[in-house]
Amino acid sequence: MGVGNMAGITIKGFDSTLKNLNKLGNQIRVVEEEAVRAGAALLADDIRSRLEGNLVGSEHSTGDLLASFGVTPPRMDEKGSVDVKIGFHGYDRKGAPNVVKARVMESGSVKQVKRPFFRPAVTANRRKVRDLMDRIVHENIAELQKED
Amino acid sequence: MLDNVKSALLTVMENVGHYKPLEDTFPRIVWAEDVQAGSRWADNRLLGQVIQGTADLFTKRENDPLFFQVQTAFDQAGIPYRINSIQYEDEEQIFHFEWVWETWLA
Repeated sequence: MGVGNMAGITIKGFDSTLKNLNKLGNQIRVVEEEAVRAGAALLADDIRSRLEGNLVGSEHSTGDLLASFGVTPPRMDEKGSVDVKIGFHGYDRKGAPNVVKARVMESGSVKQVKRPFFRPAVTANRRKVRDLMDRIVHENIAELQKED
Repeated sequence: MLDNVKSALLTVMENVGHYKPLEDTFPRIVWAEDVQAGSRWADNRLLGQVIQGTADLFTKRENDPLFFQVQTAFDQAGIPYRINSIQYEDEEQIFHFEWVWETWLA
């Protein structure tokens, strides 16, 4: 049994694809962080705005809850996903945990009518955040590919 | 406007308030709408909107079967829902269950 003619294919441009992938490998973390940071900022702005709206005219507001609101720097978890946390930290001047105050405002209690601001902001901005992050990732990848 | 949500909850009990308690007794349910969760457009016209809101059950009874009755009521009305929070309010000794629901605006 001899060796006959074998079918084969030629892949062109694979070198440049590999080169791009290698380049992305080095830069992808930077791109991911930029996208996540921008998405988080968009969402956080709306959460803050809704929170400010809830606090307008409040006799009890000291500004401590608003001041405790923030976004953490991007961080990669053990599975390789880059994420940030948006929320509240610390205690107010009376020693009450700000995260608990935020939760009571969000979900209400027997004594307090709820004034949701966090979940509605997430719901209202989900698509905008996704589109923004998507655009940033694609623009950055295109930019990296142009640099050849 | 969101009569399907109200009607579903009224199958569980009569003490159902919109945004605020109907009566200050327990158990009670308070529901409220708060954001548009989706929409459907065609030919540059808005055909429909999905509204998201919450329903809160306040009860003094531990393991209250009302919890499942609320979920059954949503199921039977075809209203999707999820539990958003469960809290024990220790000062008042109240179990507080919160659901997020979504429905088409009729």
